[in-house]
Amino acid sequence: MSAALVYEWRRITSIRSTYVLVALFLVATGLVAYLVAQVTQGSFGDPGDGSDGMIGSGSVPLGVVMIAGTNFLSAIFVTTIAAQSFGHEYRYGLIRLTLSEYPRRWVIFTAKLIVVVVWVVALYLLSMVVAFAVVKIAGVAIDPVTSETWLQLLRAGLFLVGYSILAFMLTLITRNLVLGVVIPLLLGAVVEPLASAGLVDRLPWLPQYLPISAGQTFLNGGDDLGRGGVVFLAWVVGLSVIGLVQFARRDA
Amino acid sequence: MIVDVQSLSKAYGSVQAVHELSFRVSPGHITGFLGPNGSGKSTTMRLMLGLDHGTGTTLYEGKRLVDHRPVTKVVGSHLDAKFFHPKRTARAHLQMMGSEAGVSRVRVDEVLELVGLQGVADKRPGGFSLGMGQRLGLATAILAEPQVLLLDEPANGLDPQSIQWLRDFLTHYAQRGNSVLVSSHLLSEMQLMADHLVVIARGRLIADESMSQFVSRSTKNDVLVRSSDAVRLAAELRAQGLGVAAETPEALAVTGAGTDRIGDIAFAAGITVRELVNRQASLEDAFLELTSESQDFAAGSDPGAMPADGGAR
Repeated sequence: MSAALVYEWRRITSIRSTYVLVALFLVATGLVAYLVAQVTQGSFGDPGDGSDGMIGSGSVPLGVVMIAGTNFLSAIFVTTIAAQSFGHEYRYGLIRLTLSEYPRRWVIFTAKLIVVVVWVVALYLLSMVVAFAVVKIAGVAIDPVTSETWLQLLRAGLFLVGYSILAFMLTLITRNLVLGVVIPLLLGAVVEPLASAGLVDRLPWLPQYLPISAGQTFLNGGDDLGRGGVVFLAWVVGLSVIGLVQFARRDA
Repeated sequence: MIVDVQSLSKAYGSVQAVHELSFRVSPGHITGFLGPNGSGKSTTMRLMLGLDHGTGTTLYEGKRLVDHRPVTKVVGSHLDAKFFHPKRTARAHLQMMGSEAGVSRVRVDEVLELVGLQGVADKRPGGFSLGMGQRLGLATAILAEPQVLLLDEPANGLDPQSIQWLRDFLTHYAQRGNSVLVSSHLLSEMQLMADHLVVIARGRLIADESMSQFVSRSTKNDVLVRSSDAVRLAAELRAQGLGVAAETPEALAVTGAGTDRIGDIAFAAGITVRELVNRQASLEDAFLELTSESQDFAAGSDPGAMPADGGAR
């Protein structure tokens, strides 16, 4: 397994597109963090005049800016890195070299999954630093950290990891890098909202069981947090099982 | 290391690509793997590497490939000249591919130099020619110094100098006790390189023998005899049960006997012989004869047959 991890680490670190995507991810994260801070800094503070008005001191809850790395734009870049794990190998035929080197397929599958998760977690942590720095540089005051803030950040990190695994598995199942990136995006941005809106009368429970909607319920917190998390996890695990079984059974 | 291919079979839907194929690749030899287009050579190699799923097994020194560690010390393969990421440098590609066997940077540089790619080691291979791609593929295959090499058309796109280099390299590699299985459509090259042949057609084995045995099967192995009295000589030879065909009024192509016996028959008949030459069929002759009935994707038999207007519309 250690050799497969080295292989995968060398794979991901030896192409320029990885670094380009990381840079784009961090730029997008910083930009979104700045915009979120600007828009929300008046919405959360104490107006200071004793009224209930929303315009006030200009401080922002830490969690609001620091989950900037999970925004739609940033997610595209980080999931592309995840999708490239198998996507590049199938696109360029490298998978045949890889599998002749690692004929036990679960070994390379696991190594790729581990490296992707490590990268996504590292990028998420880095994105929080970037978001924090951007807000600080912009001179926006940040509210003290609470336990709810940490839970919110943890949920956001788990969502990003799960979302990346969905992209990873969809790429493996379709053997197509573009589909691996586009399907989760389309699901979240188009398909699920339309399906939920269109079937709201007949199937009002449907959104709870759609992957990205469930993930977002988990991300947002609230009463349905637990159910959203379980459904999202079920989708991630289900697709992972399908991905692994297909990978093991199909010709390279 | 002996490679035992045992009853490999693979079907794509109703098409049987490989059917109960068994052969052995022995150490110290270059085994040529021949077959017409679509005969199942590449599929067989993929099955041998466990890349495709079929039935049957391939044993490397008595064990399946998955039971060996590290795998790249056992078998190195080169299946396509374009199996690399176009933006990953040649050096980085080899460092990545050497991870399983723990190949050092020094060895990577050594191999790059060996295949003549040291000058472009840090260049991205997206712009490589087919020949350079072949060299990178070969470098990948030999990186961990495996005991078995499986090479699918490694000479495609190589210039004559590179082909000669490849031949010398593989000969030397096999002489060190390694096993080499190489497929190629360059039959003249294969004749110079391989000492054993495995020939398949439509997924079935049709020959597994030494090069000399295979070539001797051709009907184009004959003796050219030139004589001033070819007509009488032909009659004498036929009377002895030999096959005779007139090539020119003075020259005969004789089959069924060697030069000694033909010379003796002519001498006994008092016929002057001006030339007596053993003519050996080429590998190409033998291959085409043996596989003529088994080509799935054959072109028209007369390449000169063109429309009167040359095909212009």
